[in-house]
Amino acid sequence: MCQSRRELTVNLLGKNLLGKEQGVAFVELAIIFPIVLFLFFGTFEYGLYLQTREKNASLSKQLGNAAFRDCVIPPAGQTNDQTCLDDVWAEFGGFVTSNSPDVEVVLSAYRLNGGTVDLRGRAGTPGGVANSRFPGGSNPLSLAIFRRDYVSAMGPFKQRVVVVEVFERYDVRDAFFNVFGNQTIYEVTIY
Amino acid sequence: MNVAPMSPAIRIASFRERGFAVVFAMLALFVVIAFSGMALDFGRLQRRQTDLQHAVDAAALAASAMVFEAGITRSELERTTEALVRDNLRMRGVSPASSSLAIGLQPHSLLDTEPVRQISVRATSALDPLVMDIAPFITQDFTVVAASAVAESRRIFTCLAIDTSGSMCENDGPVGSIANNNCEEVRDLKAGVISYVQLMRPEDYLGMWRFSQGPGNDLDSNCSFDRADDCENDGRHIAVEALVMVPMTRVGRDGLVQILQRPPYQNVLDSHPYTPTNGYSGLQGCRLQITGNPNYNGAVDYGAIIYFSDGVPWTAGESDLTAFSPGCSVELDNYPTSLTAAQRSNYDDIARKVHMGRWINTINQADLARNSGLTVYAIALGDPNAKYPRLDAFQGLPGTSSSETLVKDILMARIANDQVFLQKEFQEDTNDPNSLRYSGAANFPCVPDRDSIRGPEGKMVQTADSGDLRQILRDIGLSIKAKLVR
Repeated sequence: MCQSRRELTVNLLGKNLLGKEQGVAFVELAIIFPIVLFLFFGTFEYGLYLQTREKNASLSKQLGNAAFRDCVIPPAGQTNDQTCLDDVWAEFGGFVTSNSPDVEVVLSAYRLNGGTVDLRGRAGTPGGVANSRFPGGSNPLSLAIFRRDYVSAMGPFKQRVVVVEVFERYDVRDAFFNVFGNQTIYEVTIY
Repeated sequence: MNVAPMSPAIRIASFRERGFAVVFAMLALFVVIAFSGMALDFGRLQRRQTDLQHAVDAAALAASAMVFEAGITRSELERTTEALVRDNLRMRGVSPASSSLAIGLQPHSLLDTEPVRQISVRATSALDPLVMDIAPFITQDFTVVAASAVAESRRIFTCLAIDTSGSMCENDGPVGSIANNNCEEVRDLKAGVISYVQLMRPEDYLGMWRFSQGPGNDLDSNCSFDRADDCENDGRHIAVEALVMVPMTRVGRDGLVQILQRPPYQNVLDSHPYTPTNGYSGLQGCRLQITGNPNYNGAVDYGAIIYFSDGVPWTAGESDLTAFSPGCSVELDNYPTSLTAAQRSNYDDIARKVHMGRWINTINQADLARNSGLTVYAIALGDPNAKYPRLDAFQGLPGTSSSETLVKDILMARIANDQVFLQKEFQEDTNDPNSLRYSGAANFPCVPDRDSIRGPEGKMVQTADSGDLRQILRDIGLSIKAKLVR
């Protein structure tokens, strides 16, 4: 039985096209799929990253609030900033390290002393103290340098400052993104 | 079989379909990329919002503590506040150039004469979205985020209502003795009061009432325990003594501390007659002291009563909250007005009613204080080490269960209107279904529900170690002195 010209054409064409489309689909899939995966996991990873930053930002803020209330507001009764920071860290440090073991924290207290700014106390985790981006050690900084590089608000009416820094190395959970390496999250609050 | 060559029309059709697949893929990819870009944009916006909010919160709160620095001007306060916001933003990696700030000081005074009470900080920051400002279907402007904070530094009128009954001198010497001035609780309490005073500023006021109990004056027989009866006009509160209502401007913070340490006030907290406590009189005295102060303006000032007691509910034999159920009158029939020595030493039903009546009246007085806009803080003292020779932890009677501790906490929370505590549900012993069970709103003492307690919420703090008093009082003082209000 002879097929009509039209039927024959469609059958042959369909077979031909089907085979070609399968190839195209695979090629397209090979191109698109990694991109879609990249975007999907990237968005997911970015959300986790932001969530971790939010957590650390909140931690920095709340610790700073506590240290500020205990060590900055009372000007007369509090004379030993180191003791004060130690008390604050003793109160909250256990909670912080047990709930966020990967976090490094450092609380620093600075006080204006004439024309210089002294580091009057520092408390926190060893890693936090070691990595602080604020001046440490026993050598006081001149007020001008401290204001220029760190806290411009420091002055005759703002003689005491508490700084809380929070560090966390953010491990990329998805091996897909390891090409970007791990990120160090840094959050800081100045009271 | 011969196959005819493909017609031009069919070739075009096949090309069209293949092109469609590519176009479709590109469109899909574009949509996926667009949504991913939006996710990134939202993340960046959220991140910037967090940075701004934290910066303005920190700056506003810090600035509120600078309000009363000697010699500070409004312009200097504004400058320092703005600098603090920018410091926080800069250290968080936000370019100060991308942000703008507005600092507001209230009350506003061009003459620079009125003290600042409120500092408002508003910050806006611009950033460049990846896709959200080019997406045609998004009309909202996502290029700017804003944050604001308002902090208050208020004039504080505090009255301390202090239990100076015998049990407050429990650790050293005979009960009720002030031998060698070694009363542990009172000594710790003094240190706490001083630390609180040190937080106050020249514009603040401090008052103090101590309460204990004089013989024959256990309760006011004329007091009806009606909630409308404030028991003010009976003249029976002889065991309560007003100490001072001192404007700090007159003596200064350090001056007041010295006053507390010098005669005649040094001994004010050192009298310890062995008697049950009548805290209701202390609360009443404090309320009148604050609201009667001509300088107190309830609209703008902050009035607080801090109530201390190591008193015990002494509901032994009931171990529940029946007597404190709505109405608060179950146990008050034939209410005795005093305790004999025998009743004091031999705990009995009458003694129990007396003690419960005191608690009820204290709750009433706390409600009256709240009706006047005052915030009541309640500090429950106890002693888990049973140092007090006759009584066990938290002054529960010998042989009684820990339910009294629980009842005491609940009643102290009710005095303070500490809704965080009052809304809880817990049971004294989870292994014993018959043990005291408190089920939050269903068991509010003396009122049917939380809405019946009007006025501000306070806070109940329980400690078993009077050595904690210093920190507790400091925390209270700091929380009410400088505060973010929104």
